[in-house]
Amino acid sequence: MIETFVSFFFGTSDPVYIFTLLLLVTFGGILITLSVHLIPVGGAPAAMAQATGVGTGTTQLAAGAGLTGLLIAVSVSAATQNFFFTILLGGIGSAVMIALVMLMSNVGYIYGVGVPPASGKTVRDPLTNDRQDIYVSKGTEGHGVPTASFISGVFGGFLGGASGSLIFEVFIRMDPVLSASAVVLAVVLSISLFFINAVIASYNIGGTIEGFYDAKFKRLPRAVAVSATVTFICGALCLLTLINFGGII
Amino acid sequence: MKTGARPSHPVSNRGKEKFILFDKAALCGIFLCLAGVYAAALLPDTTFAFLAGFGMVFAIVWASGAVRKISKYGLGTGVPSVGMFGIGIGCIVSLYSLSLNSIWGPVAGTVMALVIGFISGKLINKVLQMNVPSMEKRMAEMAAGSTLAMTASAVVVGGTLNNIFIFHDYVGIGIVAVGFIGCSLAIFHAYNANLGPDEAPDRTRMLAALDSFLVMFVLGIASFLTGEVIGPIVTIFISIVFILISYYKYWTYIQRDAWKITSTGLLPGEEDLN
Amino acid sequence: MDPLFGMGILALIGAVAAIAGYTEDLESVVGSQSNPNSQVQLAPQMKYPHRLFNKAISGEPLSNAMSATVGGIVFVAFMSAFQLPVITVIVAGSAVAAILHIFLSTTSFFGRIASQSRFKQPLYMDVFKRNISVIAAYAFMTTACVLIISYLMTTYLENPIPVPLMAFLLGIMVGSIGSSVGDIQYGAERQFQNLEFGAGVNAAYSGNIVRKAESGTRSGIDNSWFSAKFGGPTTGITFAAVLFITSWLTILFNPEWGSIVGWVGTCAGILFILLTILANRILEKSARRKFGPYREEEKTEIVE
Repeated sequence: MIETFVSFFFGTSDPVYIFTLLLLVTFGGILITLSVHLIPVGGAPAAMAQATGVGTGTTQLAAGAGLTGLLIAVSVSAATQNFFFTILLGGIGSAVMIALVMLMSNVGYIYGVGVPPASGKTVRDPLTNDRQDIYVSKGTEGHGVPTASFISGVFGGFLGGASGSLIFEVFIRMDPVLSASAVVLAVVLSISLFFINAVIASYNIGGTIEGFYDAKFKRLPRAVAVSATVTFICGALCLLTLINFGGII
Repeated sequence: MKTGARPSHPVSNRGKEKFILFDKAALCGIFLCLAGVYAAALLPDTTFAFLAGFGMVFAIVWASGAVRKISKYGLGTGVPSVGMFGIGIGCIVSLYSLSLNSIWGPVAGTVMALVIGFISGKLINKVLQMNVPSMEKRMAEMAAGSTLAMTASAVVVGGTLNNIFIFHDYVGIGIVAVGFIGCSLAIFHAYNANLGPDEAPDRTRMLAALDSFLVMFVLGIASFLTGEVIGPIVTIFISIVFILISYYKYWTYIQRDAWKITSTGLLPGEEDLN
Repeated sequence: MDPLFGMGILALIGAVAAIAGYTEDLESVVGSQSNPNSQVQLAPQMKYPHRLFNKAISGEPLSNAMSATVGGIVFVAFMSAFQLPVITVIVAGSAVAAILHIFLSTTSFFGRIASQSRFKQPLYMDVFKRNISVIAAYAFMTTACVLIISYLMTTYLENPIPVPLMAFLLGIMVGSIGSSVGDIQYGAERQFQNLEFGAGVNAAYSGNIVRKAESGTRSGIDNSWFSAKFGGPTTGITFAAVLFITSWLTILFNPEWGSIVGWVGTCAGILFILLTILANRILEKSARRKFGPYREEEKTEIVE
């Protein structure tokens, strides 16, 4: 009776191995939350050059960057089956995407709107030590992506892509038969986990953040706690899904 | 986006709303959706797969009601992010429940989604200190509604709960992408498209139904991939009929609610505005 | 795969991606989608009724992902069911996606205007009729380009993701790039052309958008030519560059050929990122030097 119940929900696999993989997935989820905290996003006000950061929603930009990394990770994973390079190149892909987006949005701010990148939250840029409060135009909190936010964003993009790829790589290794359906399943489950964690982080920062020097960054531990719990539960379900589908060729 | 999200009508905030699921929308959402899914899955002919589509409509209308109630408080991150959270959980749980290859899969999935949604709502409210009233209930509703909608979208395609079919056709070809983005867009497009102080619940509900029929239409096209011919044609035909009906109903609601519908004209003058 | 062949495919992908980004941005500008929409939504509340097309389909990434996924599924379904040639199914998929996009656009336009009835914002049917065909045409172009890229990536670059899911990923990508790069010029400049050039929009002017066109009253299509000169091309360049650079790293330095090649690819990626950081720094310094501060440095006290 109990055995049928357990096998109905959990299937039959080595529990220690599964638990290790689950911890890896949870770690990936926490990294996604961290990455969203690092990417400078100004939300709707930034599109009006009223706030520092990229002018779009947190979830949207993080998803765009993370899925770029996932795209690269899938092709590398299919070609090499190399755990390390999949994660590394996935992270690089995301970082390239976010770097290009920030650079081109700065081009937009400078040549399209005519404002220099500046942040009103800190008087001096934390990395270059340039005076920036005098470059903030009247009635705004800043505009564009200054250097400190830019570098923070590159790291955030790298972490986001790498953690998405890590989750994908764990999922794809669950399936003994590397079929096309297994790849799709792993990608879809990674996307779901990515969105869940991106939204949790986005709630924590209230939709806007300027990077690692922002005061909201100090709220990170709370988001990590929520993200770890939710990812643990959802990650367990993902792994069980993969086990249940795993026998099908 | 958050500018328009101000609650206009005094929100009925009866202190702490209890976690009771037995309101009409929830009963419709859960039981009619499950009925549709089971009818489509248990009837031997794939011609009746469209019944799951009707189930999907009820689930989406239920979940979009939950999105509407959460978003009225103004979360500061836009309406879509709420829906993406729900569909993230919904996708995972529904794929898990479909992987069980059991007749009790959808029921188990719904219960699980309610529990996970409740836990995450509680955590978001308490740990992240969002302090949105009855967040737990809405999150649970949204997760369960998304799960049921995704499950139903899989059944619309094949008319079966067999996990070999789900794995190879629904997931393998990539129809799951339509389920994912279609259900999520239908769930939060309804409130997002009607955002504003004079938003009316019946109009939002009708738009949610219209969106779900659009998703059903696309799923009907996708079911050509399973090799069937009659089932997809029936699904497409029925969804087109209901798209037209719900679009007409939506337009009547617009005519009722809009200040003035004019074929052309200049901007209203100062005296009109005061 | 032959690297030379891969580079040729990549060049084609880059060219198509540039068009996709361009049309995606113009589509969102005509419909005032995404973040600049907040001002269009706010305007009637501030007693500035307008004749703009107010369309909000849940943010650009998701609405583009929807169109692209629908196009992708129709592409696959028609290809397998009727054995049609690739170009035909791409057109068919994009057409179905454009029709769906019309449904979503019209419902959100009607719904948002009707929800503002207390601010006496009329629902102009001629605005709807004039703009919807332009929106549908741009949506068609974007979906077609995304489908071409998905087809090339899955067929020739041997990516194991099937076309619908690939279209979904690319739709999210093109939407998030269009929303973050292209909309700045529309939101901060075109909507507030009555304000002085060279400053961010003062929060006090929120909702005070320009409602008069060069002749007549401004509508969504009056904005597209403005964005076509700057916002659209930058979006196109960014999307093309993202796809080109990220794929280039794995095609020119394919890790399949050994871990040393993989390391070279990684180093090339890091080098490129460092170059963008450097370019951003140069851009920032030159902008600050040329534009000058808004306030005098000496007179301002440093408040730490």
